Amino acid sequence: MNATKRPLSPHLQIYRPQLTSVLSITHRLTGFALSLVILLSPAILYFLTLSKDSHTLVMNLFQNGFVKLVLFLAIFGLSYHLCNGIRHLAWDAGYGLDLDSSYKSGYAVVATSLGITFLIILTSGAI
Amino acid sequence: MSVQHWKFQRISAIALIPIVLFSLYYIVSLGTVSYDHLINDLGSLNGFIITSLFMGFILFHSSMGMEVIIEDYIHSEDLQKNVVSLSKLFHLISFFLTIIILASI
Repeated sequence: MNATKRPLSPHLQIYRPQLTSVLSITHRLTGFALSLVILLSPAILYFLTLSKDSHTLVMNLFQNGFVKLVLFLAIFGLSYHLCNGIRHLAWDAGYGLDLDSSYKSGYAVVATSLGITFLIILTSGAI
Repeated sequence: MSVQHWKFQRISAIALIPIVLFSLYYIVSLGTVSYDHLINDLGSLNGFIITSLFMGFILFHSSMGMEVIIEDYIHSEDLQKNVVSLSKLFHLISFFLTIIILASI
């Protein structure tokens, strides 16, 4: 690949954000963040199952406000990536590709993933 | 190869829908599950199968997603290849660690 310093298209610096483009990059961002979480998850599994003491330690750590925030963000990331992933699978199968449907399904994805997140936060008894 | 990558990314995505829904439900209820209960669940054959399937599919999907992201943002060909290999290695290590931890419960 030649190392020219030309700007890459789309020119994001001057590109007006739209629902469709914002949802698209959010899919990638949540995917990236979830990858980091899943790569670290064996460590959590290890301490959760090692002994009663280490289990208590992890459970207490989950009570920490900052850790809780990270967990809730991860749950939002997962439900968003799941809902938007289903939207992508529908597109791949040829459904809902027109602009009007893309916007409608986009709003549906945002509403559903926020709904799932709040439902989980409320039913988990964390607040 | 790219067609295979595209296909596997979608197949794993479809498989992950039910697996993620169930695991999300279980992970969220972890707060109400006692240590003995957790060991009983994860130590059972079903627990072993479900957890390793979950981690297997999700790490496979994650590794392929990471590969696309790395290919998009790292333009130097050598560096790109090395970072992709490193990412795949981390995903493999994560999978084997999960299996070892589950097997030693």
